[in-house]
Amino acid sequence: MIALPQAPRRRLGAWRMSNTVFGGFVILVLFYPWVLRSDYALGAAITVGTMAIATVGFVLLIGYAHQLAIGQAVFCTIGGYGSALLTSRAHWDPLPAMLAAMIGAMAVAYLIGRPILRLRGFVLAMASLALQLIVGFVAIQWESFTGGAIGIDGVPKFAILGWMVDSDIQFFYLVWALVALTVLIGLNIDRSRIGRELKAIAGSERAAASVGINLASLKVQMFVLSAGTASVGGSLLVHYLRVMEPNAFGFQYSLNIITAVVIGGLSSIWGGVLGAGIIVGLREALRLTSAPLLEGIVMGALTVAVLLLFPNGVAGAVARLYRARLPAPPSHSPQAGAEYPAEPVTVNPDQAYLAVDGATRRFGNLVAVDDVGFTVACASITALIGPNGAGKTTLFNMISGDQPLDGGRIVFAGERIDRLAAHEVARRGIARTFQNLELFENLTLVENVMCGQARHLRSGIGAILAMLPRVRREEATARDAAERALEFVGLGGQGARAPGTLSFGHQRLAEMARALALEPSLVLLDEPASGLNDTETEELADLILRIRARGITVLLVEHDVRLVMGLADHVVVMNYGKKIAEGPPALVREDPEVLRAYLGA
Amino acid sequence: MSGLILRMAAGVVLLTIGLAPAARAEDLVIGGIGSMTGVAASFDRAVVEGIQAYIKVWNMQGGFKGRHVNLQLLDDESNAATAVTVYRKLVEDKSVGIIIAASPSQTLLAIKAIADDYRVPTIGSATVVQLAVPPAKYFFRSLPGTDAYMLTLINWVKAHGWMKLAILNPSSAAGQSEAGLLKKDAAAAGVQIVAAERYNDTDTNFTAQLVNIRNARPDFFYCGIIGGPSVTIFKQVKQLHLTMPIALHSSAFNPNFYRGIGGVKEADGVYSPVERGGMAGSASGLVAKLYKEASDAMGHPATNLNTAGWDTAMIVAHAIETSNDTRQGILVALENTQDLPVIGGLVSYGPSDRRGKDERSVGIGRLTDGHFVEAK
Amino acid sequence: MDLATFAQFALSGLTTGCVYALVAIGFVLCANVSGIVNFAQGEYVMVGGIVTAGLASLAVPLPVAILVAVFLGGVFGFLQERVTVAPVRRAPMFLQATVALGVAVVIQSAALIVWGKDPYGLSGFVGDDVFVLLGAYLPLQALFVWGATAAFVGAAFYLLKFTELGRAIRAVAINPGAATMMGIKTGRMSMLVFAASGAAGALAGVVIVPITSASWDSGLEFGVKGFTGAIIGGFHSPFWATAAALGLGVLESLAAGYVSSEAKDIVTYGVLLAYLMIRGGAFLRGRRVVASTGGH
Repeated sequence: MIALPQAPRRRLGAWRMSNTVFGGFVILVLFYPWVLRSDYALGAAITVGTMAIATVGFVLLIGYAHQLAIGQAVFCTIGGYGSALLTSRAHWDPLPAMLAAMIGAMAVAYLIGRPILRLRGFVLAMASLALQLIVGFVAIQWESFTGGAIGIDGVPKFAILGWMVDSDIQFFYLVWALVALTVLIGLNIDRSRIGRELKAIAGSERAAASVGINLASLKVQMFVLSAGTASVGGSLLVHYLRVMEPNAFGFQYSLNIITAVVIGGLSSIWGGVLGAGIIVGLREALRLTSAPLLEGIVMGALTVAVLLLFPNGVAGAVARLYRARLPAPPSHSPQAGAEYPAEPVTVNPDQAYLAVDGATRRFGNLVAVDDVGFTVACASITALIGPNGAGKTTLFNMISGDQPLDGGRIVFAGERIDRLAAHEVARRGIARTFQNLELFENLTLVENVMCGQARHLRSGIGAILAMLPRVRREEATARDAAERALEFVGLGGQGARAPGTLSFGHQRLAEMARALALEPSLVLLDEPASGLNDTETEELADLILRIRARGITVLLVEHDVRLVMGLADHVVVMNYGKKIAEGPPALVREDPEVLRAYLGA
Repeated sequence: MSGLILRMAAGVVLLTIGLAPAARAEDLVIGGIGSMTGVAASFDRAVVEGIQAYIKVWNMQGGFKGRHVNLQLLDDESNAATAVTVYRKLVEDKSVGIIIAASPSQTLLAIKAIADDYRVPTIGSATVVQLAVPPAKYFFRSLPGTDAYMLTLINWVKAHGWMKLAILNPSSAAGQSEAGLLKKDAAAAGVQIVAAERYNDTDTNFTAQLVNIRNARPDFFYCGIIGGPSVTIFKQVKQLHLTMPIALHSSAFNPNFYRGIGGVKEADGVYSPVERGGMAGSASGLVAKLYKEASDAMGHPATNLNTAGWDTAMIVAHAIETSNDTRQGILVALENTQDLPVIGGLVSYGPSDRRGKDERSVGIGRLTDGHFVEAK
Repeated sequence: MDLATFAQFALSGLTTGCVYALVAIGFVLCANVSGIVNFAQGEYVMVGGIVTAGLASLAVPLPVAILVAVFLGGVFGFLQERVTVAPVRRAPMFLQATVALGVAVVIQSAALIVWGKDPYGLSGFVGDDVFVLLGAYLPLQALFVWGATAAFVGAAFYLLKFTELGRAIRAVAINPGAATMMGIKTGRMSMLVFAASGAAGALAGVVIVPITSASWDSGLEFGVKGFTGAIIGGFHSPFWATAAALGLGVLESLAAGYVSSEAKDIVTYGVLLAYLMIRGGAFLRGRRVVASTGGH
C-alpha cells in the first residue's frame, strides 16, 4: 500500500499518554510534601488543589461544551456555604455536608441550565453572572442565616466517618486524591461517547444534530457536572480556611477559574490542573517579587496572548509535542463486499413513507418554498431537482429539521415531524449528508462514523461515570459497526485517518458512512455528486443502489440530471419555489415546463 | 512524558518560591500581612504606612537592643485564602516572633481561625467585635471594637436630645456590624431609628436611600460610608438637601475625599466617631507628642488610619521590648500589657481579653478645616 | 406615594440608565457587526471617567481632559479590534468572548497601575448645584448626561438609518457573507464600530464622572448593567437596547426606593435571570425561534 499521510490513532495515543501523565502526577503528589517540607508550600498546594477540582470541571464546560460561564465561582460559593452552614450550624459531618452542597449546586445548575442552554451563544455567560451576583447579594443581606458580609466562622476541620483530617499533610492528600478523582472523571468523559459527541458539536453543530446528538442535553450535563466539581472545590477550601464569607469566591475567583483553564489548556482535562497550578504559582511569585500590582495585567495579558497564539494552552502545546512522536497506526486492508446495515431495513412497502404536504417557507417577501407537496415511496430512490434557486435545498432542510415551516406539514412513517428539532428528526431514523461536507475535523474517520451511532447507544452519563462494563461493550459494538459502515462505502481500514487527509470524493463517502451508521430507514443526500469526477459519480450511483438494496429509502437533491435520470424511481421538479412536475424520470424528461425551466426559455 | 516534565517544572517553581529570600540573620523580624491590593487596599495601605513609620522611628532610635527591625510584609489581596497562605509563609520563618495583620475583618477572621494552630502571636488592626469575642489565645485586636464606636455615638446623640436617628451603611462586614450594633444600642438608649438604609460599594446612584432618609425626617443622620463611593454619597447628601446634623464613618476622610467633594471646607461641621488618635492633632501631653512624632515620620499630618497602624506597631514594640523575643515570650508580654499609652488611648489585654482598646479610646470629632476637634 | 419622591427616584435612575444605554449600544453594535460579545465594553466608561477626572486633578483644563478621554476610548476600541478581535474572527464565539474578558482585565489593571487604587471625583462641568424638576432635586450635571446620551443615540440612529455607511454596517450585521460579496469591507466596519463603541463608552464615563466618581474597578458595574440592557433589548436593535437600559436604571432606583435598598440588586438580577429562563423556555416551542436565534 502507498504510504498515505496518517492522522494519529487518537484513542490509543490518548490512553498511553494519559497513563504516563497520570502516573507522573500521582508520584508528584505523593512526594510533594516530603520534598518541600514547608507549610507554606503545602498551603499553596492545597489552594491549587481546591481550585483544580473546580477548573477540571470547567474544562468540560468551556473546552468541551464550548459554553462560557462567567460566574462559575457561584457554585464554589454554594458549596462553601452549604458546607459551612451544615457543619457549623446543623452539626452535620463534613462529608455528607459536602455531598449535600454538591447536590444542591448541581440542582441549581440543572434548573438554570435546562431552559437557558437551549439558546445558543452567550446566554449562559450572562445567566451565570447574574446568578453569581444574586447569590452573593443574598449571602450578604440574609444576615440571620448566612452571617452577612462577615460570614461564618467556626467551620470544623474536615472529617471522614469520624476520622478527623487533622494535619495539613492529611488535608493535602485528601484534596489531591479528590483532584485525581475529578481528573479520572474528566478523562472518562473525554474517552466516552459524550466526549466524542461534544467534540462533534464543536466541529459542526449542524452535523452533530443531523446524527441525532442532542446538543442542549449534553451542554446541560456538562454544566451540571462542572457545578458539582466547583461546589466540592468550594467546600474543601472552606474546611481549610475554617471560615466562609460572601467574597471568598467572588467575581475575581470566577475570573481566576477562566484564566487558569485558558492558560492550562481549554481542550485537555489536564489543562485544568496545570492552569490552577500555574496561576497560583505565578501569583505567589509576583507577590514575593513584590509586584502584586502587576498580577491583574499579567493574568489578563496571558489570557489574551494564550488564546490568540496557543488556543489550546500549555496542555495543548505539550500534547502536540507528544502526538508528533506517536508511531504510525496499523492500517487494515479493505474488506470488500461487507453489507451494512447487516440486517436490511424492513418497513411496510404500501405506506407512503415520507409525505410532504403544502410545505411553505418565506424569507421576508421571498417565498422560497411555496405550497409544495409530494410523497416518497418506501425503499425507493426519489430525486428532487430544479435549477439554481428553485428552493430544493430549503425544502430539504425543512425535512431534516434544519429549517422551520411557515405552513404545511411533513409526515414520516405516520408521524408529523415538521415541529421536531433536527436531532429529534435524526433519532426517528432520518439521516442526511451535506452538500458542502460537514465532517467533524477534530475527530478521526471512525469516530466520525461512530457519532452516527448516537441513537443506538443507551449508556448515559451515569453509566459512564460509574464505569459500568456495558459502556465498554457498547463502545466496542459501535466501533465495530462504524468500521463495517466504512467498509460498506469502500473506506475499509481508513478509520484512523483524519477526515482532512482524504480526497474530496472519499470525504463524501465518509459522510455517507456516517449517515448509514444511524441505521436509518430514510437517507437524505444533499447534492451527493457535486464536486465528483465521472468515475466517482459512477461509484456513487452504485453505492446509492446498494443502499436502497438494504431496504433504505433515499431522497436526494441533485444538480446532475444525468445521474438522476439513471438512478431515480421518481422525480420531483421545482422552480421558483413551486413544484412544476412529478413522475417517473422518462415522463418528467419530456415535460414542457421542465424543459422550459432548464433551458431558461 | 512532557506533561510530567512540565509538572515537575511547576514543582521547582513552587520550591524556589518556598525558599525565597529571608531577612539578614541579625535582624529582628516582624511578620506583616497587609491588604496592599484588593477591595480593602485604600484603608490598609494607610494603616501599613503608620506601621512602617513607627518601625522607621524605632530603627532610628537604635532598633531592638541594637538590632535592626525588619517588617517582612506580604500582600494578602484582601482575600482570606491568600491571607491564610501567606500567614503560613510567615509562620514558617522561625525568626518571626509576632505577626501584624492590616486586613479587612473577614480576612482577619480567617487568620484568627488558624492562629492557635501555629502558636504565633498575631495582632490584627480592625474593629470587628468577633476578632476578640470569643477570644483566640494567639490573636489580639489593636483597635477599639465597633461596639465601642457605636455605643459612644449613640450616647452622644442621645445627650443632644436627638431621639430620631437615620442610618446608611454599606453591605460590608463593617457596615453590617455597625448597623446591627446601632439598632441594639439605640433600642437600649430609647433612640428611635427612623430609617435604616444599605448600599453596595459598586453602586453609583444613592438617591433612593437618601430620599427615604430625608422623608423620614431624622434629627441626626449617621452615614457609615467607607471608601469607595464616599465622595458620590456625600455630594448627593448635599444635593438632595439633607440638612440635619450628620456623622460619617471615620475612614471616609482622606485627601482623596476632600479633593472629590471640592475641598476640605465642604466637610466642615461634619461629625465622626473617631479613635482619639484621630483627634490627637488638637490634644495635649503625651498623645500630642506621639502624634507629632508619627506625623513627622510620615511627612504629613497622620490620619486616623495612620495612627491606627502606628499604635499597633507600638503595642508590638512594647511586647518585644518587655520580653525575650520568643513567640511564647511575646505572647506573655502582650497578655500582661496594662494601660499602655498610645496615640489612640490606653491599651490593655488580659489572660482572656484580646480587645486592646475600649470606649475610652473613642470620642466624637467635629471636622474643622480637615481636622477633628472633640465635639461638644 | 407622592409625585416628587417618585420623580426623584425615576429621574436619578434615568441618569444612571443613560450610562447603561451608551454601554448597551456598544454591546449591540459590536455583537452584530463583529459577532463578538465585547465584555470590555464597561471598561471604556471607566477609562473615560478616570482619564477625565485624573487629568483634571493634574490641572489639565477640563475640555482638553474630556477630548483626550473620548479620543483614548476610541483608540483603545480600535486597538482592541485590531489586536484581539480581527485575528480570531473565525474562532468560536465562546473563545472570542473569553478574549474580550481578558482585555477587560488588562484595561482594568492598567488603570490600576496608572491611576492607583483610590477613586477620582470631579466637580460638575458647571458646578455641583442642583435644579428642580417635578419636585425632584437633580444635579446640573444630569443635564449633560441626558444631553450627551440623546446626542449620541440620535447621531447613531441617523447614521445607521440614513447614510451609506449606516446601510453598510447594517448589511454586515444582517449577513456578513453577502455584505462581503457586495464589496463591503467587513473588517473596516468592525474597526469602525469598535472605535465608535469605545468612544461612546468613554463619553458616558466623561459625563457621569462628576456624579459617580471613577476608579479602576468601576467599569464592571456599568458593563454588567449595559450587557443586561442589551440582552433584555434582544441584542439586535440599538433602539430596544437603549430603551431597556434606560428602563433598567429606573427600575433599579425604584426598587431601592420602594422595595428596599438591601433587595434592589437581588430584584434587578432576579428579573434578568427569570427573563432569560422564561425566554429560554419560549424558544423551546417550535423550531421557528430556535432557528432565528442564529449561530455565530
